[in-house]
Amino acid sequence: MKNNALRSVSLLLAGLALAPLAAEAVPSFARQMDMQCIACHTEFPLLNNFGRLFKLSGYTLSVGQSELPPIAVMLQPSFTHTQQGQAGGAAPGFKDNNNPALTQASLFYAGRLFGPYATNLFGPDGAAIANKFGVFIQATDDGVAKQWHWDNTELRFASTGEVAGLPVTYGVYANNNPMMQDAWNSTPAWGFPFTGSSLAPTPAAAPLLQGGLAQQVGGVGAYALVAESYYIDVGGYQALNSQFQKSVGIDPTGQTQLAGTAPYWRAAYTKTVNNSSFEIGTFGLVANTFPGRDSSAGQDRMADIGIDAQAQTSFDQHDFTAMLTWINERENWNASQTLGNTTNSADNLHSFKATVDYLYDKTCGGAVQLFSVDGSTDPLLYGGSATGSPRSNGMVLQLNYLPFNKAGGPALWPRSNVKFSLQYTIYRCFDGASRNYDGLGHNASDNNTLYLEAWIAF
Amino acid sequence: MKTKPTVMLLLLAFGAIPGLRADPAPAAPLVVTISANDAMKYTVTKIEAHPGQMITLHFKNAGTLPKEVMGHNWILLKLGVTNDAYATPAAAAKTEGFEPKALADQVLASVPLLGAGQSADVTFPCPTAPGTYNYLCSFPGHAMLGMKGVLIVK
Repeated sequence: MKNNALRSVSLLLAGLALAPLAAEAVPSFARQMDMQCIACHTEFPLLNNFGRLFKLSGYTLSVGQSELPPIAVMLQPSFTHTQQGQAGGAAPGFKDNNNPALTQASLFYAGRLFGPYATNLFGPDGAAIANKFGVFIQATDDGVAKQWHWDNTELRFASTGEVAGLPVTYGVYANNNPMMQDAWNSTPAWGFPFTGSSLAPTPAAAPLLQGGLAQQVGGVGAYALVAESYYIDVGGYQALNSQFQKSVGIDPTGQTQLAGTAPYWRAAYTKTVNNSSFEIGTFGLVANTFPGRDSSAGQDRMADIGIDAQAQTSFDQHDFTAMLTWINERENWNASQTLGNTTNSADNLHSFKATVDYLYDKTCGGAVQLFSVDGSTDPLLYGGSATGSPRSNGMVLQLNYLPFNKAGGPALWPRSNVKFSLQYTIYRCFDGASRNYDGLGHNASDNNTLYLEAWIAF
Repeated sequence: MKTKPTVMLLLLAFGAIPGLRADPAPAAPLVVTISANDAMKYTVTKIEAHPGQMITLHFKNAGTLPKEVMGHNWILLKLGVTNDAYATPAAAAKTEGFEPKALADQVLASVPLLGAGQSADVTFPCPTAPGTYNYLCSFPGHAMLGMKGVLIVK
């Protein structure tokens, strides 16, 4: 039982990871391409065909017009209201309810590794190689935790070629978050909702791949898109040591720590027909882990297998994107059960999300998502649930207004963008029940959350 | 029966003897219509023509996105010039519509960069050398996404 607290922290961290903070829409990319954001996005950060190509090209495509370094800034001032306040404060330093916050302030170095300077540094021949390296480096000031930390970070090398007469776009990467390299928004790292409140309760249970390893691991891999249709990505991840994590602002306390290398895979088929693109794929990760970074009782083992699909179509002034994500996690608690963190020796957890996103005239729109997480009942593992069940489900509704998306930002700084969003999360079931889910009288609907945000990028 | 040797001689003179054969009637002009869209695809990715045949290409950008982010052109390259060889340097020539004058010697025919809803025509003689000629949209990244095709001359 001594590690129950650690497990709780781990679950809390997993829960926080459920508040996705995706930021794959960076004005330094726009400057590098000398194009506005809609070249790569519908509603940022949702990628279109060209955006996926830009990403698979290792963030290195360029029209070569900007002389500025690939630096960008993102601010996310927000306001959170939950149906019931949280006694004691939504977070240290915050009120029970109705909290304004700066959810994130991020600084990016994103684009070609050497920015627009490769030719000056290496000459034309050297630049031809140097400009195949791209980076996405994000440092974030978490305005709720009041902590700077490294965020999604990736280095890539990408190129093109032919195999058996078929065009191939290929690359290798090193990053700190499994799936951040993926080009489809139907996978967890860049999935909807792209942002969310860190000041509202979120369900305790989530598969490891759904943010549970972000920023605490390092991995390398290689990918290829063949004939513009067949995508394959294989890699492996290891835990970063705790000293390094602390040095980059990550608190390793209570983490589910990878033991050894966790293999990762991704395969997808994509096809473009007229103005529509379709994708169906699978992904997964198998990990031996130390619960709460405690190696005294051996290892747990988690196997995540996911299926995703995306359909995207544009016509006239309309952009529709539909996304499906399903992840099943097999959990063998060899260590956790010994440590008294779980009741069962093995559990199962599955997560499902179905999302439709719409944008009118590149300016205003919205999204609807149905989400569900469910699995084995385990009273010790889900100690915050009166039923011991991980079951949570509900809906996210979001309205967006992007005044600069269509024509670009103000003349002073044209490669900038802003998205005003109103997001409402409705829980039908939360941590195992719709009523009195925690045995303390709280209902699932108490956690319904209204989240207002201005996502400013420049 | 007296005419048989004469006919044979005529056949030998104008038909069977190489170099003395009458030229075939020139092929009728070929008209091709190609559209491009925001999904970065051409509606026609293979054209077949005869050497010297006149080709008229009607090209339309049927997309809706602004020209700055989703312009399309049509560039027919000379025999042996690969899409990459042209598209890579052309990507830096935004002010020239991604069709740089410095690479003009690699181009047989072209339609300039068009914005949403715009169309343009080009008429040119089909190359006389048989072979497979590449054509592409030279807007950055579009050829990589499959916005390319071939003219087969035979």
